[in-house]
Amino acid sequence: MTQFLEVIFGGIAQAAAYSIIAVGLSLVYGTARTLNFAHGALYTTGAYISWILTVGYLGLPLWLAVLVLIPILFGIGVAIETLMLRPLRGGKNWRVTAMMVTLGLAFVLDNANLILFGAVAKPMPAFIEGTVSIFGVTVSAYRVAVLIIALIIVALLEVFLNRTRFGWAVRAVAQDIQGARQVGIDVNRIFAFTFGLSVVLTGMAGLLLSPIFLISPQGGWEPFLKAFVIVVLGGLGSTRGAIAAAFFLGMVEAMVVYQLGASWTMPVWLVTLLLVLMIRPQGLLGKGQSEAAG
Amino acid sequence: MLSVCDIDVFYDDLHILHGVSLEVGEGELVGVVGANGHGKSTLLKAVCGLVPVASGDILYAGESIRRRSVSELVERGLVYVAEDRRLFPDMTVRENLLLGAFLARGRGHEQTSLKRVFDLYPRLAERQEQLARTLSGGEAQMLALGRGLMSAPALLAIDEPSLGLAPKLVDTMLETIAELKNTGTTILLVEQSLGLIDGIVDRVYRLEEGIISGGAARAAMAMADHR
Repeated sequence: MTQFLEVIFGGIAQAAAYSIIAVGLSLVYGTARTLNFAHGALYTTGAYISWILTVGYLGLPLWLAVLVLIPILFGIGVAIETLMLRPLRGGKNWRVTAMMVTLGLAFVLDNANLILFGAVAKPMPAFIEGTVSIFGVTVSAYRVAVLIIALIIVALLEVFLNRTRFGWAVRAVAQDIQGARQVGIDVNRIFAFTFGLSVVLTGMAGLLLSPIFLISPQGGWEPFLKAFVIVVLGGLGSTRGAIAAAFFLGMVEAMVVYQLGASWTMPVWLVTLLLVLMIRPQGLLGKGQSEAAG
Repeated sequence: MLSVCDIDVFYDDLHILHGVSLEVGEGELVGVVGANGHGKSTLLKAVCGLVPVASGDILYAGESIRRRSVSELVERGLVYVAEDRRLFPDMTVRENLLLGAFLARGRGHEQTSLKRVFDLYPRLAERQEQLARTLSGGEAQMLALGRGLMSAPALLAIDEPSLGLAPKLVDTMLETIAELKNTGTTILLVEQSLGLIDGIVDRVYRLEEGIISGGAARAAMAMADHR
């Protein structure tokens, strides 16, 4: 029983980190209507940059590394949106073209990381050592920290979206682009900002999860796939749906790992996705098409 | 106040507006009528910066605005109200209205504008906390117009406000628009049939297959009859 609870807790902590990745993916899909295939490669890139800033080269303390990391990630996101995606927007079949461009970018980033850092996975030390005991269950302190940090990030995001003027503009663009333009919102600025924000989110998740999974050039594809399943399951473009779906799938994953072994994780995720979509095609908290039209 | 001079507008390869010109004077209520698909909405969107103008020019308060962004135009009081409303469906009525005052121009008068909209449409005041997606067609049209008013418009470009409304609601809507004119807002109003807006407009243009005609002032015509 204790072991089972430990597994469940591990699942929750990981789900929290996945929810950050997924929320980033969902934000860009919701506002700019672009499915970003480079989201996983950017997760890995974020992890490598934090490795350089900390144990790899510069040896910065964690708090300072995070302060340096955030503007770098944000800048990368803004650059991708303004230089690569904006010129495509409005052209023929731009959504498909944009998707293909992000897929190409994913391969470029993966291979650049491979050349720069080599194929051998980089270890990252846990920033917090030791274990804590919760209700008689012993869990690593690091996982507790990941859970808390991830929840804080998601909470901050919700506050931003619901309580700030700029956050309102992001939601407005997500709900009706032309309507947003009509009230004077500069939608290109919102696209650039949300892309920057989504890279910050996925890169931070890369940092948070690297002590658990190590950092490797192809390591972003599994988090990307999981984030994609989470976003579809939670309802495209719904932040709260993504968070709910992340925890749901995190628990399912933990139980699968406990009962069947880790190699069953991805098949079970996809089967869960299939089952949920058969019952609720709009996702857990997504809005149905007919509702959206009315 | 607004002069559209010989503009051409395309959607991809489709030539929608052919050398369209029109004038709207300060405080006027000018109508544009024409059948569906003849370019009325495109004309309003071009004026408000929502679609690009290929050639010709648009002057607003004496200045060319052809290459201005929508944000700049809204900040100067040129506001578009869409025929398909373009509300934010998952936000409340109040949030939709407050977003109308997103830019500095509207934000300066946020509370007075809100009161003005609620005085105009007590219905919206009652439904403040309701999501926009749950509104009826008439209420949604009220909200679309209300959101436009929140931007503190100097010139309001209203696109077919009667669309999808019951006849009784259409009358109320047009009365409201006439009232707005009386409080000093300049209005460019697009409708399908002249019969609907004949009673309230100062002048009317007709738009057929992207070509504009008419626009004589009624006062001038009346004077011409006298001579």
